[in-house]
Amino acid sequence: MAEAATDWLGALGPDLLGTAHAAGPGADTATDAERRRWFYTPTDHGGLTLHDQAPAQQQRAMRLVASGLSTAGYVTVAGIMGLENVLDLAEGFGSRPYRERFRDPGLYHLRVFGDPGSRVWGWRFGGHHVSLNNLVVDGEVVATTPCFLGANPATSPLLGGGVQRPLGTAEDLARDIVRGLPAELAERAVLLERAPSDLVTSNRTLVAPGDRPIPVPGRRESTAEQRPPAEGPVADAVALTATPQGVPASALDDAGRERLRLLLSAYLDRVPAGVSPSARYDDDAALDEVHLAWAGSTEPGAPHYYRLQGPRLLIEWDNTQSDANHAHSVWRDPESDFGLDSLGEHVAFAHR
Amino acid sequence: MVDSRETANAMAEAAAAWLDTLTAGQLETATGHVPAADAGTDAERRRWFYTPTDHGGLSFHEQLPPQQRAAMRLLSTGLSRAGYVTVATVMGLENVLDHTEGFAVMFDRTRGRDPQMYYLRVFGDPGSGTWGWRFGGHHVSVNVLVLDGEVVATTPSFLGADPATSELLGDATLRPLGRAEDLARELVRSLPAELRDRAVLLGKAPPDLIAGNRTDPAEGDSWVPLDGIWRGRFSSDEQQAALEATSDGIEEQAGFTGTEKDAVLLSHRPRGVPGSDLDTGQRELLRALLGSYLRRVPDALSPIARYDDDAALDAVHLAWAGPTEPGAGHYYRLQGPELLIEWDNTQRDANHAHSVWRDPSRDFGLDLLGAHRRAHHLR
Repeated sequence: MAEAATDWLGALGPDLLGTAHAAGPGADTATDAERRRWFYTPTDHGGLTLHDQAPAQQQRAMRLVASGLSTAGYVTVAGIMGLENVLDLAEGFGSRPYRERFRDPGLYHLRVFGDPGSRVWGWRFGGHHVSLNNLVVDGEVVATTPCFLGANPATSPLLGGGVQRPLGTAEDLARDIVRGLPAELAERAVLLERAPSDLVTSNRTLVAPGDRPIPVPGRRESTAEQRPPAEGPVADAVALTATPQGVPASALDDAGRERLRLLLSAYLDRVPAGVSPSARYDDDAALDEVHLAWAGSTEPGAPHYYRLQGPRLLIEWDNTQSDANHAHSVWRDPESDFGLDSLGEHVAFAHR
Repeated sequence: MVDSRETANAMAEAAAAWLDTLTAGQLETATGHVPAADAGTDAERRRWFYTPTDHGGLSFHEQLPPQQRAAMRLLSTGLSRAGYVTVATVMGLENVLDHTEGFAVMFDRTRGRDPQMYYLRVFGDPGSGTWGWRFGGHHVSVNVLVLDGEVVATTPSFLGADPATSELLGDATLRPLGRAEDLARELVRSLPAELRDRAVLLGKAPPDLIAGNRTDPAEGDSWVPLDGIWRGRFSSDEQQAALEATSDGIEEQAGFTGTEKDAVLLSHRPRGVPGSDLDTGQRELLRALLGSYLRRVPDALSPIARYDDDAALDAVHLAWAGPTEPGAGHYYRLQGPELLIEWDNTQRDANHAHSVWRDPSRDFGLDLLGAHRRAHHLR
């Protein structure tokens, strides 16, 4: 990562460095504020866009992106960026008063925080439906969350009856687990027959018990904290809780546990093997603590939401918008998002 | 249903809208000579590629975001939804291939694998009676001719994928052209031994499309070595040598003898097994396979309905080369009147696919323009 980041920064002139590079990560909330703001909407994520860069610089940017991802994670990110052209077609190639091209595969932003050769530094790559946030301390990658991937459309037709579903298994595995539950467990897993229309924790910097969906999409103009959360029975039912809702893995049968491990892998193995915490769940006791909760119908094609929650783990998925053909998925570590714990900030999820 | 004239109108409108956004300097690269019968003046329009070379036209790097959007809108008028999704995915695969190859520098450009090195050019005036356009870059070539308000040619139509199969999360894969491979394999493997012997021309596969990137394929053509599918020599001798070494390596690995090459040459008389020898289920597979090529274009332009007629399907021949086991390098061809489809997936350990749909009688609309054709050209 450090080598790729240095290589990228070295290829940029002083005019581009001003946008590409920012102050190093720190415990101070104010100076670190920009690094802790993240988005999954097509807003300004902060950093140098691909449009701002010459081909050789773009190549170095993608090399840095790849250094923080597994091959499958990188393929997915590349696919999601390519989907912007597909979404542009679906929406009739429209524009917005404030932006000449709204759906845009070139509008992905890369920014390095601090000096890649130093003790503490990080980087972020983000644009519509992608947000990768990395912190390195003392030569170790200590945080890779929030890690967001989305797909709109979630399913696109290919030739000869094929389909393209960049995030398809993250949807199918969760549904298979829920549909495989005996009635009594299914009742516990399904929080509500309706799904929230977006991630419950939205693009908040920190997740906390009591978080509710925020109906207004995240844009640079306002932080998540400034936007009023939703009210009503759906918001009540899906609000984030300190004690995980739904069904614990300890209640699942072998097939369910196997699917859950693969489902966890679909999130945690977005990052390279050496960085991923997925091996943690080889331990049955660790897996036992992961809870699955669902909202919405469990019929394929219907709008739905699910959550996986356990120690150091929060995963959220929704596929509700555009007639349930627009998916969001995020992997978070409530105690270590943005590596705040490594920066000396004590983040105790359950007690805030 | 949208008819062919409406599609042509939509194309003309989108082409004019794109050209309207461009500066005089950009227009020089973005436009070419009006399509013509004369081989000299029409030469540039008839040159096509599927390698990462200069396809001719304005690349995305040379356009601002709204111009890029207008370019993609023109492209979309010549494709079905599934066709457009596939092209967008193939362009996105350049980032994946760059990763596979370690983000190396190659092909005499500042970025060798580049999702923005796709070129669009309009030939002639979209408001006039004769005009066309081309969109091309690595593994994409879309060639369209419009005459008197009708879209009369949409071939050669090339799509490729390298890697053909990529990993996705949760043990899934991305295979943009997967159905075109699977349907053909399923069909050939379903044949009884005697028919399969006739369908399989050779136990090993040629390393590339036999018609190559020729304008006008003819009887006796064999594949074009990789370094011949570039617009010109590289300015860097070192890069040129690297390309030639790669090309030679492909030839060496293929290791074809003269007799083996003869077995897969292009021929007037289609090789392999005709549709008339297939049973009902196999005919359905063949129709689905044809659809995976002919439905790249909007319904109003697709000749797929031709094959609702059993007699038309009877005349389509399937030929295969290479093992029929999944994962092995292989090649197939579908040939019949006004039809030549070729597929190969041989390079990169059979994880790099090429596929082309051609109408040898009508590629680039040469017949309708009254152009001179090669002796023994296919029909």
